[in-house]
Amino acid sequence: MVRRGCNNLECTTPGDPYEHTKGRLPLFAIASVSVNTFRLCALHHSPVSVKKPSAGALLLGLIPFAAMCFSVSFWDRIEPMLFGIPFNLFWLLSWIVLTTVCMWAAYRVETARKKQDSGAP
Amino acid sequence: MSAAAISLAAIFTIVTIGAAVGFVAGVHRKMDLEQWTVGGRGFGALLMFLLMAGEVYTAFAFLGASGWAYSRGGPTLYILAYVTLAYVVSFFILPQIWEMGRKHGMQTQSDFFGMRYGDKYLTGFVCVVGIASFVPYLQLQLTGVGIIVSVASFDGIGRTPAMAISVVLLVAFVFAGGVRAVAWVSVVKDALMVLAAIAIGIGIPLIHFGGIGPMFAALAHSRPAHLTMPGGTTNLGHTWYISTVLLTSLGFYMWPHFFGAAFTAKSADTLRRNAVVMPLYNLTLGFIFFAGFAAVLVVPGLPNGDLALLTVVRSSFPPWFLGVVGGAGALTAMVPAAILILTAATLFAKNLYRPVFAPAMTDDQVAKLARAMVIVLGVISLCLATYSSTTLVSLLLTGYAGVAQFFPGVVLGLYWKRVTMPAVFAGMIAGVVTAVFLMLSHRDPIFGLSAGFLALCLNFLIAVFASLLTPAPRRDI
Repeated sequence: MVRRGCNNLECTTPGDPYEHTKGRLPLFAIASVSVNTFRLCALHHSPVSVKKPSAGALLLGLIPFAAMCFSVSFWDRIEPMLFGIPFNLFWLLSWIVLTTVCMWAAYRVETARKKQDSGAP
Repeated sequence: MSAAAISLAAIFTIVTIGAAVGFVAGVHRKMDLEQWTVGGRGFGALLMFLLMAGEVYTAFAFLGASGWAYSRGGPTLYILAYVTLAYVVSFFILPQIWEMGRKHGMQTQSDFFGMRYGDKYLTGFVCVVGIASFVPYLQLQLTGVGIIVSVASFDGIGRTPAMAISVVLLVAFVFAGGVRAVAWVSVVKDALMVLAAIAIGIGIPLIHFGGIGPMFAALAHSRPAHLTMPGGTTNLGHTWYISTVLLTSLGFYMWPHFFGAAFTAKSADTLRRNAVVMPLYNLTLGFIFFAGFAAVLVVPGLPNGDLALLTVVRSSFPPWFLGVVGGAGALTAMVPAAILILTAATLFAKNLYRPVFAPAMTDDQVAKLARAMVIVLGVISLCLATYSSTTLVSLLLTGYAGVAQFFPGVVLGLYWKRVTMPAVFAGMIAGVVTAVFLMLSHRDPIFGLSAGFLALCLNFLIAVFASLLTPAPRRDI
């Protein structure tokens, strides 16, 4: 398996660890997945690695954005009222809870990846 | 005892307890610069949760959100979306910022820019924009305290003396304990805030309408347009909603004090777990919305929407309860104000004064200067708050238009090695100038878009394309 991210191994490996990122532009700030590490990591050979978030976690993070922000015209109405609350308010309150679910999943993705990277014995 | 005396006594008691907790937390602790500003980097998940909650739930959430629900209606929903999405953003940037912070001993946002881009003018600019954006934010908190005390005293005490008292208390507990004191005051504040919000959000609709459902049914019947966008406004529609949610959720952790709070965490993992749990805290905001919407029918025709929450509480509950709500609200304003003053003072001393005027200063002298600045800033913000008249939400949005301009520099700095200092600098200047121009010339919103968001897009495009046009940064620095 190809290891991604800047762990000690890669930092001390000769060559350009950013080779695969050349010519790619970050289209959206949060989704700027094109570069996987902060450059100083490679320069100082520090044991602390600053990694980019995984694509899976980023996708999970985009779900709340789609639901609470971009789709506003679909849910901004009063009817149907649920539990006596207008639909738009109810939708947002529900997505507060669902956002935590999404981010919990993203957290699992990130921690699983970390374990893998640290090379469990 | 008169009603005013009872409610004021309750406020005074709560604020005194809050301040006492702050003093106790700060006593018997050696205060060097790092201890004072980042709490020795030893905050665990719980204290971190409380610290961040303390900074996030401000007078804005308490009075501003209900005030806008009262006066604007539908567009206020942007608040529920942005505070939630801001944590989503934080999940992807704060742990990385924290790791860099630990490696390079950073304490402030300016340290980050200084280390990443290595240009003292860019760092100075970030510092100046940061401090300038604090002005409306700080003004917001102090105006909030002023409103609380004057409504709770049944208009017996003016806003200005109320704000003066709160500034004195504020400076005192920041001075005594730094960031740890603020975190512990948050404990008191948050407990009260949650209880007060739930009691108000359920109690007011129950008293006047017999429940939340009947309240919304009555509102949907008499003022249906108020509940959706653009609500009580003409220009705050769906485009405005999307652009404002993006601006504020991306800009959220660009506030120098939120950014700085990341450095106080024990580990990067603490910050990730925090991002998972924190959205739930926003459910409390729902109750504040209920109260704000109820006020539309219960106390119509108020000159200033920001008065709505407390006025409706005053007309629904006994004075002692008004006092408890007022006390919670006052702490809710003072905790963030304390953090703001603390951050601005550190920024000024460490990132502006020392590098530019006195490079030879020791850390000890910087800490002393920062403490002196706390007092100076307290007085300045009091003067500004005295002359302010805009709504709390507008004040906050003005600040966001400023700090959000740091976002391209931070995100590109973390994840794009090709980004260059001149490009980030140029983008940031363009963004700040655009935002300031559009707002001062009253062109916000423009084409239905939030002016700050337009400025942010311009900023981002310039940062990316100018980076590609300028020579790549040297790798071997």
